[in-house]
Amino acid sequence: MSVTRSEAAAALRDVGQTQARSFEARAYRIVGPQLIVWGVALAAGYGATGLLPVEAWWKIWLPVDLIALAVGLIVARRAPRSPTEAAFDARPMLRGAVMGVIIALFYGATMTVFQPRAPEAYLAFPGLLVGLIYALLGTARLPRMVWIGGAVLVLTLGGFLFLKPWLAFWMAAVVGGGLIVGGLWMRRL
Amino acid sequence: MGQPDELIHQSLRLKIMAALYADSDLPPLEFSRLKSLAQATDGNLGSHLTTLEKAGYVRIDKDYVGKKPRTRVAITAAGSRAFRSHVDYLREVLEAAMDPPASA
Repeated sequence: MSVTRSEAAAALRDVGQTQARSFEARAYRIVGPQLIVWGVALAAGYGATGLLPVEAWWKIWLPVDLIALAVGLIVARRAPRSPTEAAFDARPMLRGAVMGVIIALFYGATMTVFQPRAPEAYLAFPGLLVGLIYALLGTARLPRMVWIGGAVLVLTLGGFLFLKPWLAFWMAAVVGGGLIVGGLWMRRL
Repeated sequence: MGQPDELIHQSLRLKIMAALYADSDLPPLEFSRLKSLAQATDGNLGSHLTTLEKAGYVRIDKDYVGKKPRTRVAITAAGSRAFRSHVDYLREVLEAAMDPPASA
């Protein structure tokens, strides 16, 4: 049996494409459940925000974020892992915590610089930030994340422009619901 | 130059081996997930897996989750070696074709 140059090139292309799909599927298996956890948390947080006065918002978001972080860590530890991999690895948790602090600092800094007078801006900005982060992560060979991030960005902006009186509930539905649907979609590959 | 592996060189079997090799550090792949990664159908995936299993390149585990049957597939050490060797051969073919001919 001999293989021509074009046959070898086509075979290697098939191998590369299959391995890229494997990488994508593996990443989605890790990210998908996290999207569902944060989708539920955001839906609950925004839903409660819509029912409470502005002064009480922080009382919702601190526990919601901490609970989502804890559940996310538990879910991450249940992800399929190599038999040779350590049962407990603190590094991903540390990376997640550092990312969380950076995002919180960025959110605080942006709000300090722009000082929005409309409380709706405080509701919409996290949606824009989440959409941006997912879309950017998606550019690393994870196209479904680009779609999910893009949809969250556009729907958040649409709600801020046209549905201000119901923005908290809109965010609960589209950002929270969108992440849940996105997480389920990722698990299907 | 090495030798091609005729068994692996078939297009779908090569994709199956590539998917299994890429996930060889994880627990065995479920049949449905492998089907999606290799872009195969139920029928042709089953028959090619049987061929690869007979060659000792893959291991097929069948069990039940509750009352639902489950088939999981993993690449064996021999399969990993054969896949690496075949991919090396393919790269050599490409490189040999790209090398300029030696001057007389």
